[in-house]
Order: sequence, then structure tokens, then C-alpha cells
Amino acid sequence: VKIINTFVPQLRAFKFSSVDELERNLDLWTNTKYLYEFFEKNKSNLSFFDVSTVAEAVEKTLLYVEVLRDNLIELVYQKNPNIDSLFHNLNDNEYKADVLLSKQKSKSGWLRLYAIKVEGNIYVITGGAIKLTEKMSQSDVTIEEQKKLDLCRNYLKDEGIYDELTLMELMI
Amino acid sequence: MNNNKKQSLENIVTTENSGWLAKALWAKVNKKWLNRSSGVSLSVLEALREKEWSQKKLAQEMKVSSQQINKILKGQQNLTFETVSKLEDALGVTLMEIIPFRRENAKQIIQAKSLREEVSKPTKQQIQPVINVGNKATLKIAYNRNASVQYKNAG
Repeated sequence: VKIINTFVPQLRAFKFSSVDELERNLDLWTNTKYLYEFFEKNKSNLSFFDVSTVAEAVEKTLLYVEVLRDNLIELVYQKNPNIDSLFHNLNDNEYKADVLLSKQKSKSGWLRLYAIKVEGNIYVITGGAIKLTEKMSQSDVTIEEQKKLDLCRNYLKDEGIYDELTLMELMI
Repeated sequence: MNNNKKQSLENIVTTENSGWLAKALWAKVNKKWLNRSSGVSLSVLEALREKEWSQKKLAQEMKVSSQQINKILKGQQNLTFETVSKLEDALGVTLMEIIPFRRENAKQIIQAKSLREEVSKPTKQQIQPVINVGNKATLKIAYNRNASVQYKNAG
């Protein structure tokens, strides 16, 4: 396991395999074959989104990922980027901002990036998913991401990485 | 923080950079043809589903490797006319159309000009250069949300 730079200020990503979680998810979300197979498997959930065909769902996803990528690119080149505009508390009913190592999400349509917020406004991406259900507990892919969020949170806790200072000190 | 702990954390928190930015900037520059490539891929995937063909079967029909089909279906291949034609022949569908739009544009220009003729009465030589630009053509992806319907009609 590694935590790497994403070029977006204050945004890091976990790397569990050959690519980090940000790159891995963006790769999947721009892969037409992957998307087609994913929506074919999950087409029963598409009716909630007023989407009638698998092809339409793929087209929508390609637009959502373009918006997400553009937002990220903008943050890379902005003078005073506001990373907080990209993420929200994972739990919609949770308004407390000072929870230590809080779970976060970033939305673009049904695309989600999940992250742990380290004190000092640093976000570490733990994974991502196409969320077609109301609750994370209602689909295998989001259940998996929930587990990863918990594992990563515990990992950071165990390693004593709570704040920006520890992270930055290690990255210098 | 003691030295051992710091050493172990340094192995986790690295200065390594993600590859997403290079890919995202590349996709932005190549957006137009990438959209077309994913359009072709979607049409092929729809056709495979309707014909109940596997990707392996398509590879056999086209006499190419399964890896080649896999690359095409990702929707990020800069496809050649040859590959598109092979896909069309194997699947019996139209994936791309040549639209002689310049000729159509020329007709519209001529129609507009003919309206002005009543006032200015241009000579044939003035119209001729516009008519002669009709040899070039452009490409249009045939894919749309009704691709499966198009396939049925074509079959």
C-alpha cells in the first residue's frame, strides 16, 4: 500500500495495485467495454435514473467522467484551488466538519470518488464506484468501497497519519 | 516520531505521481476522435449482443486476435478505415457513413445565391467555383441510441 501525489493540491490517492485509485477508476469509467458490461449487469437499476438502454447509460457515464476530469484539471491549474468544493461528507446527514479522518465522497452524476479527509484539508482517495442504488449497502460494488473506506481509515489511524503535517513531512 | 516509525511511513507516503493527469490531458486533446471511437465500440457491443456472438467469435470472423477486439471495444483505439470495414463486414452493420456534406452545402449556397440573382444576376463563372468543391466528403458515426433498431433493419 502506498499514498501518492495526484497533482491536485491537497489530494492524494491510495495505491493498492499497479495504478492508484484515482487513475484506476478514471480508466474504468472511460472504458466503453467495461461500462457496457457493468450496465448490462446492473440494468435493473437504470430505471431509477430515467435511462432506458445500456448504451444510453454508457454515453451518460462518458459525459460524467469528462465533467469530473475537467473539474480535477481545473484544480491542478488554479491559483487558489478549493478542494473542499469537490468533496462532501459520505453520510448526507452528517454536518460535523471536525470528525477525525472523516469519510468523504465526490459526485459526478452516478460516479463517486471516495476519500478519507486528513486534518488540514487533505483528502486521500480510497476508491470509486458507479453508484446506482440509494444506499451503499444495496450494491456489491459500493459495499466493497465501504469496506475499503473503513480499511483505509483504520490504516491511517494505525500508522498515526491524522494530519497534513505528518503527510507533508513524509512527502518532502 | 521515532526513526523506525518514520522510515516505515516513508515507504507508504511516497513522492510518486499518479498517471491520471497525463491521460486526462491527452483525452482532452483527442476528444473528438475518442468520442467516435467509443461510438463505434458501442455499436459493435450492441451488435454482438443482438447476434449473441462472443468477442472470440468476432475475432475469428475478422481473422484478428481477441486482444485486438478487446482494444477496439475499450473505445480508445484510433481505428483505421480498414478495421471499421472489417467490423462492418463481419457484423453486417453500418458503423460509419460517408456524408458528401460539401456538395449539400454547395447546393444551399447556390440556392441562396439564386435568390440574390434576381438582384445582382451573377454570371456562370461566379457560381462555378462553388459547384466544383463537391468532391470532398466527411465522416459521420452512424451510432445513435437506436443503433439496435438500425441493425435490425440492416439485417
